[in-house]
Amino acid sequence: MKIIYHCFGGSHSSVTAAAIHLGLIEKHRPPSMEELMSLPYFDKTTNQDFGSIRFMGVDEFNNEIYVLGKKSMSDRFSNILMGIAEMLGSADQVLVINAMDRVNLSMKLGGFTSRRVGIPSLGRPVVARGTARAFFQLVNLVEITRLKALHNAEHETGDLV
Amino acid sequence: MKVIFIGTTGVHHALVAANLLVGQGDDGRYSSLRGFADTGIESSGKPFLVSDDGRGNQVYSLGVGKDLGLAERAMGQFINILGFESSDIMVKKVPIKGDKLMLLLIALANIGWLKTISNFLAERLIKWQLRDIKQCVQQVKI
Repeated sequence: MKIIYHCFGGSHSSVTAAAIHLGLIEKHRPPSMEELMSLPYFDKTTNQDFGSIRFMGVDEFNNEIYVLGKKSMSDRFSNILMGIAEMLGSADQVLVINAMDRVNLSMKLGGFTSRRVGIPSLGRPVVARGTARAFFQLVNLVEITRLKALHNAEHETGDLV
Repeated sequence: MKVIFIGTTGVHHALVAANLLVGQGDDGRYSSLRGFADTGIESSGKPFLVSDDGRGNQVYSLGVGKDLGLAERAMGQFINILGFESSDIMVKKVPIKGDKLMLLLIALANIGWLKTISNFLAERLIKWQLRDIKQCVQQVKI
């Protein structure tokens, strides 16, 4: 199964969610700024990365995990991608997850300052603090996603049997 | 082969392009096309099937909002990730002058008494930009 976490820039909440999913960061405590900065793509994207689906890794159930920045397209983007998957008969192989609703004001302000304004020294500490505050909400999103993936996989196996 | 025409909205110029590809809508009465300015189709966010020739060729229209380039790139990569190739499915964007106005017009079409005006303006805009729409259609072969 392919799991795509998406948010505004594909740089903070979606990357953190994907990292939690892949076990790149521990999920029982919020990560430090150094841990966040060591994640691939975290606060490192540019304008050219908008719309690029970037591979983050494979989880223990062989699900491929991706991240995507889709600007302000909100849940519409999930519908678009799922609509295409349905059209291609692959809807049961994909989960498209919007991480934006777990984003707090600090993440938005810090992310904007770091990525859009281009002052990472100012924005990074703010976005890191915001990410730490939103961390358990992102863990919750990932747990729900993992359950959905497991459910889909069981359903698929059941169909085959 | 599947072809998806994407526009700021999927029920105006992208829908006209999809219809022109399959030889419909030549009479210029675009507002009478199936799905034209349909707010239900637009808000679903899913590709709208315009034509299916029964031999595996299907033509769709889809509204993706104001950033066509972003949507085209993401959709192209998504299709590759799912294991399909350009011979299976093609995403063609339909950029026209004033296409962001279509977003406003579809919002207006949600308000009952403004729907007629909205449809009229959308049709006028499409006729004004028909050459660009036809150029997009000509670049697609199924």
